[in-house]
Formats: sequence, C-alpha cells, structure tokens
Amino acid sequence: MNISHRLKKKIHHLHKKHKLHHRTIFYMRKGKNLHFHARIIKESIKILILASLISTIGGIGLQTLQQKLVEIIPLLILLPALNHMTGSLGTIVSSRFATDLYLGKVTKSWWKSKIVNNLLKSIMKIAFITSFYISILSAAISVYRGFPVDMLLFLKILLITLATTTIIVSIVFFISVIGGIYIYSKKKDPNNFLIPLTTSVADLGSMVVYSVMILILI
Amino acid sequence: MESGRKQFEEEVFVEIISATGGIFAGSMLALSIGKIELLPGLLILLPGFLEMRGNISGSLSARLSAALFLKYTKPKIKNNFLLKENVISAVALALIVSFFLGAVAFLISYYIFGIYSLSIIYIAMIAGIISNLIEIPVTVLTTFWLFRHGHDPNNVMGPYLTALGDIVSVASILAVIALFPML
Repeated sequence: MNISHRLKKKIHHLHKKHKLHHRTIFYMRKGKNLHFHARIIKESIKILILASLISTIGGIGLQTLQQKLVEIIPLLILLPALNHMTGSLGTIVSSRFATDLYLGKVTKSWWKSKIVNNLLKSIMKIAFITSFYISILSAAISVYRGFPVDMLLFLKILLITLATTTIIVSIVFFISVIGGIYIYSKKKDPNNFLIPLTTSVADLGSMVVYSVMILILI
Repeated sequence: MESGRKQFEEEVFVEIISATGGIFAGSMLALSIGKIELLPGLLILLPGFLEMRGNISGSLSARLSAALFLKYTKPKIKNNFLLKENVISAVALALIVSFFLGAVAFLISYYIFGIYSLSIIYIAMIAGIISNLIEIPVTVLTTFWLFRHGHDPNNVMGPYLTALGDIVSVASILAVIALFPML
C-alpha cells in the first residue's frame, strides 16, 4: 500500500471518528480513474452470496412450516422483524465486545468481568424489550385484520419470540466472547471476523430455532 | 453511567425502528397469504432476499459516506464519477445475488420438497430489479441529504435501510407475483 503517512493518519482518524472500515476509506481514494465498480463487485460478491446462502438455509425450516405460517398470521407477520432483530443484536454484541477488548476492559477471567456481565445484561434487556414489542405489534395487526388472537395464542407467540431471541443472543454472545478473545490474541481486528460470523449465525439460527419452537408449541 | 444509559436507549430505539419496518413487511406478507401458498419456494427465498437488500444498500451508503467525509466526492447527482461507479456495482451485485438466490431456492424446492418451479428464479430476478429501482435512489438521496444537513449518515442509515429494505423487498416480490401471474 503506497500511501503517505499523512493519508494514513487521516484514514485512521476517519476510521475512529465514523467507525468506517480502513479498506472502505482506502478504496474511496483509489477509486478515481480506476473504474472501481469491478473491484467493489469482486470484493463484495463472495461475502454477499455466503450471507444470503446462510439465510436461505434458514428458509428451508420456514418452507416446511408453510401451512402453519399461513394459518396463524401473527407468526408470518413476525418473520422479517425477528430475522433482522437477531442479526442486529449480534452486531451490537460483537462491536461492543471488540471495543471493550481494545480498551483493555476485558480480563483473562472474562466470566468474572463486570464489563462482560453488563454487556450480557444490556443485550438481554434489549432482546426482551424488542421481543415484547414485535409480539404485541404482530398480534395487534392480526386482530385488526380479523384474525382471532386469544390469550393462549398470544402467550405462545410471545414465548416463541422470547425463546428464539434468548437462545440466539446467548449463542452469539458466547461466540463473540470466545472468538473475540482468540482473534484479539492473534493481533487481528475482531470486528472484521465477529460481525459477519455473528450475523450469519443469528440469521440462520433464528429461523431454525423459530421453526423448532413453532413445531413444539403450535 | 449516564453515557451507558444513553447508549442503551439509542440501541433500543434503533432496534424498535428496524423491527417496525420488519413488522410492516410481515403485514404485507400476511395480506398476500394466497400467493405464498401458490408459490412454492417463496419462503425459502425470503430470508436471503431480505438479507441481500440490506447488505447491498448498507455498504453503498457506507462507501458514499466515506467518500463524502474524505472529500473525494460531493453530495450531488450530476457528473459524479464515484456515485456512478457505486450505483453500477450495487445494481450488478443485486442482479447476480438475486439470480443466485432464485437458483438456490429452485434447487432446494426441487431436491428437498420435490416441487419443480422455475418461476422462483424469474421472480427473484425481477423483484431484485424492482427493489433496486426504489432502494438505490432512496439510499443515495438520503445519504446526501443527511450529509448536507450535518449528520453522519453512518449513524442513521443502518436501521433506516434495514426497515426500508424489508418493506421494499417484500413489496417487490408481491408486485412481481401480481404483475406477472403467468410466472
């Protein structure tokens, strides 16, 4: 990489300030006169296909439950929100844990660390609040559309959503902590590794757990 | 302590916005139950299609934001080389990944569920084109607008594009099914 020290400093400043990846900022500069759409496509295509493929595997579980999803409308309404929610929670866990690692806040005995415990509590609170929100909203929309949602069905929907998010957030949290410490010990940036990994696990896992929970409870 | 609370509140707010978009998209699906039943493979295609749109628009916005902050481009539409290159790549990526997703959904439908339905490939590709026509201009214009008004697009565009991506993707798939019943 033949770039000046000044530019390196500028890129690092922008990376810190705006949380943009170094490579993203770098090829903004290199882009001019290069017809760099080919480069963007080349660099993005593999990860895009992989991420989409992982999500599609989750779709197999949904296809097997097509009849139930069609018959019980709130389950269908929940689907896109739940799919993104778990992935987004995975991103929050990974990026916050990576930051804590860089700041030296995580000790070797991470399970005793107050920072790690607080992160887990905080992410679980967000997962609970959002799960309640989407369950209530999907039930309300279903009732508005004329689909009867009694208390038992609502509780089942709530339980499915809560169980899906709790299981996935716990898995993602564990991966972030173990993977993050390992990657950091290898002197690499945990953000580059953890965010794609946790979002993929969350996307695939959420649809699988959601399907299993529907099979058990409905 | 105060900053921790603020961060928590911001994260909840972002999740709520993104989830609301998802619920809205789910409601559109619920309005079209008959089409879901009729079209084998749609539920296989859906999670990957939603994922693709958010990823492509999210990285488009991030690249434009980086270029704006570095002053390599200006927030204008005309005679903007960087914008043109970015839009070309976003369109191409969406077409390639849409085709791939459609093909995978077709293969899974055929080999696992025993349903032969080539239409899922056409639906994925046409829906990919329609959603691009809506989402790319909205992404570009919103990123430029936010930058011009002194905001950092990176802080806003993530949840906004996730919510928008869900709605536009589901609407595009349903529009293709409605517009091309012969598929």
